[in-house]
Amino acid sequence: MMDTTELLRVKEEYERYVCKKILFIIFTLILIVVVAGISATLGSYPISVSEVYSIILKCLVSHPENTKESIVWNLRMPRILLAIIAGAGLASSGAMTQGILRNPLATPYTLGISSAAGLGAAIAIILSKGIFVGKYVIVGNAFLFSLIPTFVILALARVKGATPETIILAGIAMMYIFSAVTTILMYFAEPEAVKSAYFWMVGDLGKASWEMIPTVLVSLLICFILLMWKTWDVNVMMTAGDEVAKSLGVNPERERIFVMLVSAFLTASIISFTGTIGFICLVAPHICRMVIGGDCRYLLPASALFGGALLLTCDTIARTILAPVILPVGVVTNCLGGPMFLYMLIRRKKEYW
Amino acid sequence: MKIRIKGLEFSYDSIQALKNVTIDIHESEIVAIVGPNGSGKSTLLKCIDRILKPQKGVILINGKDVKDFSQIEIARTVGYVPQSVKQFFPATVFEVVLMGRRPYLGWRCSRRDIEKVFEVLRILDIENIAMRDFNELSGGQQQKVLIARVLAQEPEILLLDEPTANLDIKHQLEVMEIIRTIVREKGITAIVAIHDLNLASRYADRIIMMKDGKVFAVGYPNEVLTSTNVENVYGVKVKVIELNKSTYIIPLEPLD
Repeated sequence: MMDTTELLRVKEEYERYVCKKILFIIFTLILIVVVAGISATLGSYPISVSEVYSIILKCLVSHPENTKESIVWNLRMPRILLAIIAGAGLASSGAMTQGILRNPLATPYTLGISSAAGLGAAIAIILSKGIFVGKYVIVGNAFLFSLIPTFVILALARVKGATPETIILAGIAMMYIFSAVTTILMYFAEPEAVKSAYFWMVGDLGKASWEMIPTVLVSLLICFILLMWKTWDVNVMMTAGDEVAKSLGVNPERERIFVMLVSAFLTASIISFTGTIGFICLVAPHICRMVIGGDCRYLLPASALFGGALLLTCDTIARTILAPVILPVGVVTNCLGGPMFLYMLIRRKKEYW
Repeated sequence: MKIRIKGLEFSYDSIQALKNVTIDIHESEIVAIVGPNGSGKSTLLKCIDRILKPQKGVILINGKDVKDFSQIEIARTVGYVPQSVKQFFPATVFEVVLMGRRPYLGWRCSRRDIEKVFEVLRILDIENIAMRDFNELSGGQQQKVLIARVLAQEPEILLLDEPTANLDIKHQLEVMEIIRTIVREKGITAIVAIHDLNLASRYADRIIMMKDGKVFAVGYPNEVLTSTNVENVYGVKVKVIELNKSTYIIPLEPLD
């Protein structure tokens, strides 16, 4: 029978397609482990790859005993972990935000989160000049401010409906308002404070320490699980549009708000520690989408892992390329992300938008 | 499933789209809704599927008010195929059709759901394009994929908004044949909003003719598609002919 052989062929093709997605996820996982290993060897104090892995394994159960172990465990590990967690969080929120807003250019930053966080940090840095600036004042202020645009959008959505257009336009308006206020503030501030506020906005992992890891990790895990739970609904909204989504038993406006809140919270909890690292939330999901397609059930974990590997790679380059000068990682993500994105756009086979 | 619509009224912000619409739709029949642009065809379909909430009136499905259905219940009972779709992100045909299983899924999709998708792809004879990107397909193929999705949803009432718009004549006939086959085989009810009066006449058991949000005429194709009705509703002078027991409309000229 012609028909049955054709059906079998298609089923096999489907199985291969699913396998490819799973393999890609496994590949990104291995990539993280390898890049983390390499990254831990690099720096002013040379340590070999095998040493690094054995130190990490040893320190998982006991405290570091000598300089070598201390450098790997106390200096390099927190930074590596923060890079992975931050990359994973930013990429996850990016992937889901693009999905719910059905817009390939939308990221949590488009919703005004980055410029609001920037204003929060700038206020903390500039106004508390002279007084002791606890690092958690900046973190806390950035976090609080970064949630403002989300709640404004939420309030607006109640009146005008939570359509992608309303959300994106409101987000962009918010972005301009917050940047303008930041500029006014900087205009009247001391040069030193302006400089540190400015560098905060570029995004940097230099402040990484063990004590901030639990906070960002817990936030990542909870938000990731919540997002994973909504992947079906986002798939439906993405492929079918709002009307058909309703017809399929999904409430698009409610799910859109939910995913937006979770993504915003996740992004805010990361960038309040790291500053507004650009491009990861835009680029990582797109690269994954080009390899494994748009199904969020696979795209979300793949983007998270790939985003972690990507930010870690960028940070490793930022630490080493001009050593002993350490660049803020935001510079590297923008420098690499831009051209990489252009390259992918030229190379892509399919029309996406 | 029987549908009874009583005194339905719906307004968009400033325009009243449906005015006191009262219709009965019987079990396992194909009903075509015809009428000029803006006469309320799509709005009526969307109200039946609760995509839009009418301001007044009731819609009863087998005697039960649609307002009392849960979200999942209505998703399992009524399937909707929209007029046009714009796809922003890449999705394979398989993935698009799999979305039709959403009302039956928990978080995981089972072997059965996947088999169901292959089954409907097979019914529509499009299994060979299962792994193609939806956006790369022709209009006719896309329409079949959307029908496949609604079949995967296994609804008892099928609502189709202009399923033959933008299709060549062969695809138009194919799509209508598919709808007729499904309705006859599965005993479901189909309501089709359609512009092509001749397709409506050939494939529909009954026709609802709408004008300005009101029901203008209801009945068998040869009762509804009279030259006076068409002239009144569309403002077009037509010639009505009978061919192979079907009524055909030949538009002649617009009336002013």
